Amino acid sequence: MSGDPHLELGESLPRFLSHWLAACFGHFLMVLLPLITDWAQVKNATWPSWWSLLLFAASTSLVAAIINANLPVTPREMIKSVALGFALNATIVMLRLA
Amino acid sequence: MPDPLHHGLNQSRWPKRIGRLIDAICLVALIVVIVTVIYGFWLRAIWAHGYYLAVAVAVLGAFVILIGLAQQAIAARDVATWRDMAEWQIRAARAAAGQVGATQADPDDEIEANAAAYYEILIGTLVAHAEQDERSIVDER
Repeated sequence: MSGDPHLELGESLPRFLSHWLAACFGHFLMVLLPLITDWAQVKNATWPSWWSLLLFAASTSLVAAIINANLPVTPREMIKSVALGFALNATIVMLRLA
Repeated sequence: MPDPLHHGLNQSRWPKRIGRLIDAICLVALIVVIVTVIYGFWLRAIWAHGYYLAVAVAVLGAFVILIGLAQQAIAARDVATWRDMAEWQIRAARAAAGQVGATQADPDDEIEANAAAYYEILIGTLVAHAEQDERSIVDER
C-alpha cells in the first residue's frame, strides 16, 4: 500500500470546507426531497426564502464539518458528510426546532 | 507494534479493487445527490424566482467539491509518480554501489515504501552515491 498523505487522517482547512459543502448538500437534500416526490402538494406550500435556507444549512453543516474535518476528501468520506448533514437536518425537523 | 504512519485510512484490509469500486459507487451517489439538490432548487425556482440564486450557489458548491476531488486525485497520482522515481533512483544508486564494491548501505532487503526510515535511507543512499562519484573522479586524475 502507498503511504499517501492525502489519505492520512488530519484536520485541514480544505478538508473542512469540502466536508462543509458536502454536509450542506445533505441538508438541502432533506429539504428538497419532499418537493421532488410530492411535487403537486408541496408546490404551493410556504417556503423559507432562499437565503435563510442557505444560512440555516451553512450553520448546521458547521457541526458536521467540524466532526468530519479530519477525513480525507474522497467520495467515500464525502458521502459520510452528506449523510451527517441530512441527519442533522432530519433531527432538527423531528424536534421542530425550526 | 504501532507504527506512527499506520494510523491513516490507507491501511485497509480489503483488496484495493473493492476499495476502488466503493469509491466509484460513492462518487456516483455524491453526483446523484448534487444533481438532485440542483434539480430541487430549480423546481422551487419556477415558483419563487429568488431561488435561482440558490441554484447558482448550489452549482458553485458542486463545482468546488468536484474540483477539490479532482485535485486530490491528481495530487495522489503525483505523489505516486514521485515515489516511483525515488525507488528507481535507489535501485540505480545501489547498482552503482555494488559495481564499485564498497557497500555502505545494507543492501539486504526491500524497504517498505511507507516506513518512516524509507526517506532517510533514500537520502543516505543518494549521499553515498554522490560521494562515490566524487571519489572516482578524484581517483581518475
